[in-house]
Amino acid sequence: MNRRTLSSALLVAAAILTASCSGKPRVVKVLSVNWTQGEVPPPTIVISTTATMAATVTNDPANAGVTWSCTPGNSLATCGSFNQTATASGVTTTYTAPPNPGSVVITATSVTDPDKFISVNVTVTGVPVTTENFVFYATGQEAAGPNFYSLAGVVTVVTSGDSAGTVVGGEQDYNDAIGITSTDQISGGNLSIDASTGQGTITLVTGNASFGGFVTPVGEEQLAVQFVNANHALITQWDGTATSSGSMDLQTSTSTPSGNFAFTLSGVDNVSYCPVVFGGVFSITGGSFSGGTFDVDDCGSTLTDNAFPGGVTVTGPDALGRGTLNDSGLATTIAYYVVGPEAVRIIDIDDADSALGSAYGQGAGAFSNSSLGTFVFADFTNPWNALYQAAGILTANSEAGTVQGVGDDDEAGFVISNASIVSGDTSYSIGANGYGSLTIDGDLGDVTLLGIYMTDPSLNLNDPNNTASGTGGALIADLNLIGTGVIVPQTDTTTASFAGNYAFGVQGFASSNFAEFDSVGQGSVSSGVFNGTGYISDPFALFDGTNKLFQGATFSGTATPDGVTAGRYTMVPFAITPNEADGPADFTVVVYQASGTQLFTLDEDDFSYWLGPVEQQGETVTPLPTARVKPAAKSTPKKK
Amino acid sequence: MTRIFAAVGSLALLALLFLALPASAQSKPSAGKFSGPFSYDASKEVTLSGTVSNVITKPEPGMIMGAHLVFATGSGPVDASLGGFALRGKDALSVSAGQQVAVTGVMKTIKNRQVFLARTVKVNGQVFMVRNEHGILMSPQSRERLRQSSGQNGVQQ
Repeated sequence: MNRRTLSSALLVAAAILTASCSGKPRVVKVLSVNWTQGEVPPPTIVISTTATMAATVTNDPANAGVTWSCTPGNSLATCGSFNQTATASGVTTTYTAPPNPGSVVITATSVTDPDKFISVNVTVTGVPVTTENFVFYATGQEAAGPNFYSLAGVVTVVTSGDSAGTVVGGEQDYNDAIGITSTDQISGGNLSIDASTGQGTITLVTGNASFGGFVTPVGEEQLAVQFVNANHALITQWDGTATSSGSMDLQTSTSTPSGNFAFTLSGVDNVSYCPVVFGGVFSITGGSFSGGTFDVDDCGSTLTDNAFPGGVTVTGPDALGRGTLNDSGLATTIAYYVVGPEAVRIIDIDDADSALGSAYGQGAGAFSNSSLGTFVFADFTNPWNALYQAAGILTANSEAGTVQGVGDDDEAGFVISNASIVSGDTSYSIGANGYGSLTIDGDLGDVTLLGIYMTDPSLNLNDPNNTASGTGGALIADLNLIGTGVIVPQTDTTTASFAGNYAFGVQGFASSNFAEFDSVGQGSVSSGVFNGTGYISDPFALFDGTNKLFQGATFSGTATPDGVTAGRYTMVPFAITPNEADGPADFTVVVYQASGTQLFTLDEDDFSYWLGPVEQQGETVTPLPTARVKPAAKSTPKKK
Repeated sequence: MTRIFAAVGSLALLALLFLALPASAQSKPSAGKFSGPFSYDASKEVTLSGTVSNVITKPEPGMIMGAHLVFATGSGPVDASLGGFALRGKDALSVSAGQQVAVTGVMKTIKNRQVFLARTVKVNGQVFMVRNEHGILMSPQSRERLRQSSGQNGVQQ
């Protein structure tokens, strides 16, 4: 037994004896060392520059603070130095990086219990490099089970110099609510992008043995990314262990969210792993949660207009923009990741329930029925429920509180195509706080009740850093079929506007067994003819019966205006290569156009059903300075 | 899609008849009421008993998703929708041709076709839950959670 171990044992023994002699329950509080919020060492630092950092010691009976050290060598020449080598708990020290590039480890060690310490790897770079943080989130199905899962996090990527694309830090939350609920540090990885298409992959090294092991090493996840512009990408997990859809967006703020927000959150509950969706509005003022209203459909039981309970607390955010929302009535703990002042990703991190969603600012809004004009709606199934996808174009009559238009709905292969939605079958209302609802009585199958939660008219809900186009709308929660979606104002229905380069995402399901497949890709539209390529994530081998991962899959179809409803097109046939093993060779795709920059596709046939965004690409489709393309990969053999 | 058949052997013939029905919402806009396959009105539940004639794991095109249980009743064969989970995973429903079953569910008309959505299937004295009272399909994970919480496996004695 060395001295550190002995001292720890003596401390624990003393604590137990003290508790025993007092006659009270034997409660031993364990000393621990953690980084102080907002004072975490940076993942990278330039040679001979400085950074402040601090460590907090909890349950330290002597309140003796920490000592600071680094490796290799624990000297300025080898790993850097500290202006204070011993500090009280929570008090900063200033670290100076060594004069040469390399990797160092910085450690804060408890004075009272030297066995308790915290360390971090820091990359010392020779020349100043730029890093950017990207917030990512996705939800879908794990190959194992299959189970529902949600993933959200933030990743720090070097975006300049020779090491551009290197992942140097980050953190994430992963939750399947049936065995894997974890908060993981991201210690490495790589972002590789084709600068001409914006297509590529990102690997995330987590060290968590629950991840990876198919085409990536154990502990490592891989996502396919399709950048729309330098700040925004569509993503799908692409490593054979799980499949999902989501997005990745440049982080422009790590400050505490503040103001009025609309949100939706969808996943599985803690009672019977049953699908659940929440939607509503709330306010955060000065870091404190100040209430709001929400709807819920939990396993088919719908309750609307619920008040949030008292006592909701907000912690953080940390230096990477992650914090928690506790005891909200939605879940015990929800982690949030700040994308920007009005965009936040939220993930339920309870171990028996899981959900994923977003909260968007509402701006100055006072809202009313007039807040809705003519709009495109896209209503996504919960990937665990996996029952339907619906989209359409509706025009609101604010005085009558009705809408009319057309819609398409595929309920697990049960298709309602180009259905008229007549005003007499509808009713809607929007309150001043942006909380509202829309009922549709039978014109669109079981899409009968949508919660509507208005957002800032200057926000693009698909691309929250985009303030130039596609802005405005609302989040929606399907309170009958259990799903979420968006409303986007329709501003341009001309076919001439539907041209150029587009990124697209697909979250689809096989009608026969709910198995999920996802895709991200890119292509061009010219005279209505679309040709593109992309990644397909298919852990259930739906497409060719053998392979799970496809790179360079092709997508093609011709968008034909339906001649009646401006902004609605059909793409029949819509071809994907490889073709699925069991079903029609071609897909039946409908396109709804909110504008030339923002559209949605919906697949409606017996074999499958999907819904996904189509977003016009910008001139720059990578945050990296040069093309960084991985070696061309063909489809990956199915693991036996 | 779930259908009631005059005889199991006439399935193909009836399928042709169904194909002849108006495809009212397939090609052009039309205002009309469409009940989808997922809404479930428990107040309209009935229980039908009979002998299993076929268990269909792979639905034919046009049928409602998931597995089907075809059983003969005094009024003729019934094709009950079991959804995508009942025959999968741990503690899956075990049923085969020749067994007696009592199926509780709701008969619906979906786009001019009758559908029997099974909520429970009673076989060998045990009641297997296919859907909950709101029509939500019970997954293997749901059955496991229910078993853990109630000492049952999604099966009611």
